[in-house]
Amino acid sequence: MLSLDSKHTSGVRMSTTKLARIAVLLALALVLGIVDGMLPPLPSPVPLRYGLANVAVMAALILLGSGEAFSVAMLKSVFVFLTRGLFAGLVSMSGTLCSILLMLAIEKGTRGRVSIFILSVVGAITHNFGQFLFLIFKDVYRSAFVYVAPFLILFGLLTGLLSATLLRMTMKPLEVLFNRKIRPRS
Amino acid sequence: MLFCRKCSKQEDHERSDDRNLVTHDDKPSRAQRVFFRARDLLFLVVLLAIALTFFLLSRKDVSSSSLEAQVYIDGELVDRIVLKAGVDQDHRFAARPAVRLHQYADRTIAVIVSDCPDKTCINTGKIGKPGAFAACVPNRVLVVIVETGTTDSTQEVDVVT
Repeated sequence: MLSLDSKHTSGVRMSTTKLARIAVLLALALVLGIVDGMLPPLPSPVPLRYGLANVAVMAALILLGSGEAFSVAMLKSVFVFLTRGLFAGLVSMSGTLCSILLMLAIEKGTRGRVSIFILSVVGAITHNFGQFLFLIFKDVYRSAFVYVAPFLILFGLLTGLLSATLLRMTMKPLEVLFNRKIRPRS
Repeated sequence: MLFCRKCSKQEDHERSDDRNLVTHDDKPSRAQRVFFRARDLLFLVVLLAIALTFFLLSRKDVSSSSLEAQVYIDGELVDRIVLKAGVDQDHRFAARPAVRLHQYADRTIAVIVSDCPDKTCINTGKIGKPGAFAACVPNRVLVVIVETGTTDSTQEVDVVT
């Protein structure tokens, strides 16, 4: 029985599996990002998105591991650089970096026992704040932190709940996909 | 040979130190992550409390203070529009002909025309509280409301008496 589980395989095969899994989740993240852009805007005075792509990042974090999650998140931002330009890329990158670092810290700190709800909501809110702090540094927004913060938290809570629900629904099928055994030809 | 007690399959099961037989229950799948714990409610309450605090801080009574809308283009202050009751007019800027502001008689201002793709600045609507802003990120235009002191007549009387 040949298993593609990273524990049982040699170096080359492990990295191929890892690469394929990251690629699948990155593709998922990109498609969710496009779907995100097609949805009607949130009724918020600040430009906020649903953050559906975080579903793929969290799936990578829970089902695969922290390295995979970091790769999916950062590669998604790199893709924004390529398709929407430097400024959008930097805004995306700052939010993603804050979000993924805090989610990794929580996941490590609780040794993987944190609930999906907390992981998702924290990810969404830190993503919002990361982008907003970047825009403050870039002088696009000034001195409006108090006015904006409640919206960032409230909408982070709602969109975080949405992605947590989506993740819960997709987690089982994704795990089946990732743990599928490949039998050698004999 | 090791067999799972429940599913009678051999693979995927490891011998643990104290038992010969291992079931699925001993090695839960990663997809069985808890969705919501009771103690997450505490986190939720704290979060809502923080949001409410910021919300209350941002809702100051400004009926007696003088306000101005500062317009930034490319991060530089290009205009200060004093928001006086009863003034209703358009504002245009040479640096950004594609963006037009409108000042309303109820001491608010709004971005009404912009050529940006997402129209977030227009969807923001009328703004009139200190700290409120409308931003067009693609055009690098920012309108922010600033409090420039109080014009409260009763306060002046208090100082005199």
